[in-house]
Amino acid sequence: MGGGLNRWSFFGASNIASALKRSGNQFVTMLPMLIGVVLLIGLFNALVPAESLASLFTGNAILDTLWGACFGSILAGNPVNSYVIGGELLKRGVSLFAVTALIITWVTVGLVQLPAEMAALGKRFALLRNAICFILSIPIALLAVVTLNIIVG
Amino acid sequence: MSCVNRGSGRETKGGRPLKRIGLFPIFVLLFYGILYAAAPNTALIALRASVKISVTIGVPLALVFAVMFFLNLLVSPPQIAGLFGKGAGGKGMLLSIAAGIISMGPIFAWYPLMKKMREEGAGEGPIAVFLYNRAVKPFILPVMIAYFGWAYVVIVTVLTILGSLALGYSMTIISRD
Repeated sequence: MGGGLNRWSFFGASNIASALKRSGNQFVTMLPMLIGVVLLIGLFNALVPAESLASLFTGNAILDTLWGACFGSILAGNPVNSYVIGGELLKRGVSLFAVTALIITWVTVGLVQLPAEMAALGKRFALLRNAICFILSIPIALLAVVTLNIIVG
Repeated sequence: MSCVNRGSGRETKGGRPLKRIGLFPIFVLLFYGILYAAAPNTALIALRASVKISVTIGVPLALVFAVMFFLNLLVSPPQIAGLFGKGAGGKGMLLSIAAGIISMGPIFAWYPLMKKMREEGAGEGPIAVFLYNRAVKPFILPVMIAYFGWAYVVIVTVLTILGSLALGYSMTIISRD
């Protein structure tokens, strides 16, 4: 009966408060970027016509996936932002191939943090890892959409 | 019980301090101001679209906070570091996948730990697998599901994990050479 209470006692009030504070800090850190992205997408919706995007993403699965992977590698921030941007791009008629590649490379490839990664783990490791991740994102995106189409129809 | 994710709350993916992150929405708001002065109707349409998006992600974000709290309470970077090392083979790869998935905060915050682990004998494969699986974040999956649906999220998650293994073994083979 008292197991649950003992478990919380085991963590201690200070640890719980500390975890709560840390979570709050992490969340608050994430929010400005997210708010900025949401506002930017609002602007994007109002200012950018779908035709402009259509000129970038041609409908060619391979080429669109490559474009998506390029944007994901350059753009940085919380993964949630990539979902928001990806969701909005889908509404604009961009293919799921491109959006999937963008979502995958958003976290796995990072040009922004490349200098830091090279400093910590070595130039060879960082360049090789990012290059392989970029290449991998293309078959993964293609496979994901093809599998989804087979399953969902 | 030390339950921490040190350094994960004050930097972004690129390691930028909190003050600089705050500049981004300020610049966007500034642009809204300029747009409002030039074309008030367009600015209002943009603002309405933003509010609609905020409502869509509100509930999933509340869930994100709850899971972040429990992960902060239960998991620490040193605990994760103790789970995998060099020569661990398939078991090490699987542990790296799990560690990458449950880790939190920006990728930059984990570089010092990865560097330390590498110096202490961790292989390139497990480190690459760990970093790749940071793309799978259970606590933000509700947001992804809200946008793309269950089927898509499950497929992408499984393929990401399989892709991480391909990356890990590639890195291991290349590092042997």
